[in-house]
Amino acid sequence: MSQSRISALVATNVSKQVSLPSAPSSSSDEKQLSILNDIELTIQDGESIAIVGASGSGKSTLLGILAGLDLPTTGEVHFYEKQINTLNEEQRAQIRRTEVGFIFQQFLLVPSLTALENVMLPAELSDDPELRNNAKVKAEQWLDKVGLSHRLDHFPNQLSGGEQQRVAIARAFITNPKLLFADEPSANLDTENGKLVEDLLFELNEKANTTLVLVTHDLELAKRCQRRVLLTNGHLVEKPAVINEGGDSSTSNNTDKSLDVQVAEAISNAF
Amino acid sequence: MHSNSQLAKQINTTDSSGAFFTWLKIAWRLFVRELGRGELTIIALSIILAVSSVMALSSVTDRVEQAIMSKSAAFIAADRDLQSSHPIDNIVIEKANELGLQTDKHIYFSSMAFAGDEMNIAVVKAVTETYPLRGELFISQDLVTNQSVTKKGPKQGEAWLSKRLFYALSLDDAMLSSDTPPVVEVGELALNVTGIIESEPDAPFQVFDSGTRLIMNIGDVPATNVIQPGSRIFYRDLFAGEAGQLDELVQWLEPQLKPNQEIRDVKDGETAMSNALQRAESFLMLAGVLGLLLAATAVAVATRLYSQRHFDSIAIFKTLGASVQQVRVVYLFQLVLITIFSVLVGIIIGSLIQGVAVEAMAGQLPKDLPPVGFKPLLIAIATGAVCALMFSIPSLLKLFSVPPLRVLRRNLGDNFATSIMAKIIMAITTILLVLIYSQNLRLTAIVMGAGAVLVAVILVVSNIMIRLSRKVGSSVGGSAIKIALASLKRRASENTSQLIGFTLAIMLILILYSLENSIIKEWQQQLPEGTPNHFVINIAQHELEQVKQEFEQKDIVLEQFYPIIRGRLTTINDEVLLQNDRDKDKSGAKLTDGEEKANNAQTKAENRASDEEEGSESEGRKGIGRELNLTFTELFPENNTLLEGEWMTEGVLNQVSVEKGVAERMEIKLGDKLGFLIGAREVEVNVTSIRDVNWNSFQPNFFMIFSNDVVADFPATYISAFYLSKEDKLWVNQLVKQFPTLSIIDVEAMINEIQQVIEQVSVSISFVLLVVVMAATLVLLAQVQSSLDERRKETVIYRTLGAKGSMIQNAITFEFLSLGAIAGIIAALVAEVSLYLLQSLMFDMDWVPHPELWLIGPISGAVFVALVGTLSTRSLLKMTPNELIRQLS
Repeated sequence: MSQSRISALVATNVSKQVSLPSAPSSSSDEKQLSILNDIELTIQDGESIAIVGASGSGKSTLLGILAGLDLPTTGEVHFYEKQINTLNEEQRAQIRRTEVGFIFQQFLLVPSLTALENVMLPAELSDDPELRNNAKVKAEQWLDKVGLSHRLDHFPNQLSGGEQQRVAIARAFITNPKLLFADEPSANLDTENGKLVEDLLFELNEKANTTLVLVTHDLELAKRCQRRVLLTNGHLVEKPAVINEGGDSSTSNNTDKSLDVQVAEAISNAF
Repeated sequence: MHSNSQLAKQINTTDSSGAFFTWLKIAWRLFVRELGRGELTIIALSIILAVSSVMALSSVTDRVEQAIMSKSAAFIAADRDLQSSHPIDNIVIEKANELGLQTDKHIYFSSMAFAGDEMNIAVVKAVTETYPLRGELFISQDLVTNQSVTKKGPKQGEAWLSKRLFYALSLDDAMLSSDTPPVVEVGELALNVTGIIESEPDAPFQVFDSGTRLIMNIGDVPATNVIQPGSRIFYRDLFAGEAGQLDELVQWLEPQLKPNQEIRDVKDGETAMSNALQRAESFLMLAGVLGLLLAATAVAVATRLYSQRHFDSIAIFKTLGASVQQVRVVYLFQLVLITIFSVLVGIIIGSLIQGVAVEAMAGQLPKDLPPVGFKPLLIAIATGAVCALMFSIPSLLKLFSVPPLRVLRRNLGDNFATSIMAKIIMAITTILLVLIYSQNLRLTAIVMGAGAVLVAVILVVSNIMIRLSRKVGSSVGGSAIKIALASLKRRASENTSQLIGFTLAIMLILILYSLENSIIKEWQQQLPEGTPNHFVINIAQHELEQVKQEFEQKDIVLEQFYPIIRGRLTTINDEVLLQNDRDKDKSGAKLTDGEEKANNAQTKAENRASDEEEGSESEGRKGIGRELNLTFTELFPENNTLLEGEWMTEGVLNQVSVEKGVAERMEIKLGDKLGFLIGAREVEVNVTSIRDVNWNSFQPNFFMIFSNDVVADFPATYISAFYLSKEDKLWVNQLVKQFPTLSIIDVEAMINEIQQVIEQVSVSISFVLLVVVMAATLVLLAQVQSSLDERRKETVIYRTLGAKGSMIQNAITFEFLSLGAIAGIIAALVAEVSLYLLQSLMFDMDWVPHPELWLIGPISGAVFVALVGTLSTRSLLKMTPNELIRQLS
């Protein structure tokens, strides 16, 4: 890995435990469930990385912690050298609105706002007066970029799934975030629309040179990232750049079981 | 180094004002969009309901109350009066005039009236020419045709006489309308008799009054020279005008009142009219408070639903980096916009409702309704605003605390437990609202008490319900019932809050319905058709048979005859009572009060007052302080209730039956030996029964009733009552001419007035009930709506798994049916407790169990809730699972 690049995101020794609420009939002791164990992960600025794993492997939990939506039980998370796990919710919110963009499996648009208004929202919440004042123009530009300039005044329930996700992509990019988190962005879409959304995401990401953290169980989608890590049973297994054509630091090891196979196994085991 | 404080600084130094306006813009946009898409319907409806019902209730009741008050003000011939047994300083009238009030001044005294050789004691009322300020004075100038005209007070040099005095002085009725009217002398002054008093608005309603009344001008009083030091005089200053001016005068007057001075309004007396009014007022106030509670419940339910539906939006906002402050500004401002919008719509609807109501009730309501004041408007706006803001706080706090992580963990924050703090805030707000609205501590305490009972019962019941459903769940067959029971169990905590809503709505309807019923029933019983509208009194024993014959010939039915003997209670169980004769120090009041007003509850109030006065003066058991009208009969009086002992056992001598109030005050118990001084003779009797007397009935009533043997040989005069139709009125003049000593008292005008007021109040009470029922229905609807989202998810699952629509429908119906029935049972229980508190503490009525509530409550609750629930969930069952899933996402 090139030492000249700055680390966008560094997770050190991250663990997450949740307490299960005890059933009323059982003893009052709460059960602790370990979701993530000793996660070590460094993501470089401008890199695209796929976190792959089966359902229930803790992918979304990890994404939440990395994105500052959730806090690890132990360990540290550094966001462009700022330690974010010691910040309070307000301070983490400030980082999210200035430096992070999100795309979710369920699109999560505000149902009562139009496509245009949904895209404007992050710009309007921004601390940057310039961005705030030009929110509408910028939103129109971004909706144009995702091919929805004819759908500005439609409400989410008047849009197809693919269209909703394109609105979400425009919303994620409007603040020019340094980091983009995408949680199964095409899982709720049919193959064709999923493909369109994926293309759009990678195209825009490349243009904006945004660091992309993608969570998916879809191997094909994962392959489009520069780097992939496998999350299994709360542990991270990293096999960087096995199939990465464009990777500048691939250290291929043919004797090891390929990551793809491991992922496929992990996913099939989970079912 | 990036420390936290640096970051915080960075946040604070952002240009806040520009950002703030952008946030408001977002709030406005959300408001407009959600309003247009119908997402605010429930919350807006509940605030609109709060405002419009409170507005309609308070403006209708306010207007009716004002109208009735001014109408009933006629009973004291003014809006307020100041009574005094000493001359009233002129500054009072001056102050009243200064405040823009109309004023009138009266002096009451007794004096011998002379006409030629005839003389008779006259009860004189000297008035100004503004008399009466309220109500109408009817004076007849022709006794032959008996046609009367309304008049203001007499001019100086004139006098108006009651028929009885007129005939007692043997005046010639033919001269009345001639150029040389008959002359009557009062003290040293001669006055022309220019009219006969047909009815005075403020005539003391008293059966035992001598009835020899004379009205003259107050300016003539000095010339009569009858007012000497030591004379028994009673003074009254009367005022009429706007409520604000009157209140100002009363506030100014109260601190400087002397002993023996009292300010009254029509509600202060304990007359039948004032009782009816107070009860109606209490009812209207209670209904208003209950309407308020319902509205508050609706708002709480609706904001909860609103919050639940906005969990995702808040999570998205926060994920996109919105600070808690931004979220608060955006959503609070949106709430403010919703509130303003709903308050405005509510005011319009409220005005329309009250307009329509007044129009619809035009026939029954007073003709000259005053315009709607600002008070109802202000109350409505304040109610809407306070309800919207305070009752949405728990839901909003919950909403603001939704974590952004909900975007990834979709059910995070779903658990909707209200914090204790929020519950306290809502409880305090409720109490304050009730207190401010009713300005009545007792009612507030009752509401709090009933509320506490309600919460306790619901907690117990929902607990039992959960336990039971857990047990029954696995054993009951029929999968619809199984699903329903499982749902009840699963939603136990949610159901508890639903139960509160359902129960509250049903309970309030039950309370108002029962109260309306019993109040109106009691009024109707009090004055049934054909209630005697005349009293005949002072019938001498030797004329009794002749008088009876006259009535028989005219075919007029007389009520029971009561002989009257005057006597004084002197001993109780041989203990001699102190005879502190209140005539000596409250002599003035005696003049207008006449003698004992057996028919007027005012006596009770006076007795209480005089007891209190005397209580501090001397040791020892006190007597009643005056002579009593005693009677003897062995027929039980119609409108009395036997409380203790037995009524006049045959063959037992020397029995007396005592009225409850006197018995309590004098500590007289069953079996006590009472000694009376009648004339010069001492009589000893034993208490064999205690009676409750309905002082509001238009019947002769007595404190003491003896058995026939005790006083049968004393000379007595007789009293009876009868109903006289309009056509027969002239006959009375003949009767009085034929028997000059007897007196006829016409109370028809008074009964008519009371009946009219009662009818008007009954109509407004029914209207208020209707509004509250409508409000309760909306609360039920909102409550069912709030559980629809959850049900939608369940329906998807059941439908996807292939459950039949009819089975799901049955399960939902059964669930709502049982919820409604449980709510109905609790409602009946708490309504019964509340009714007990209300009737005994607020309405001064006797509480009787209301068995019908236990039927009406559960049945109507079950049917209504099931109907509303089933109807509003029907659309879910028509959708395909696919459509449902789309709707959910």
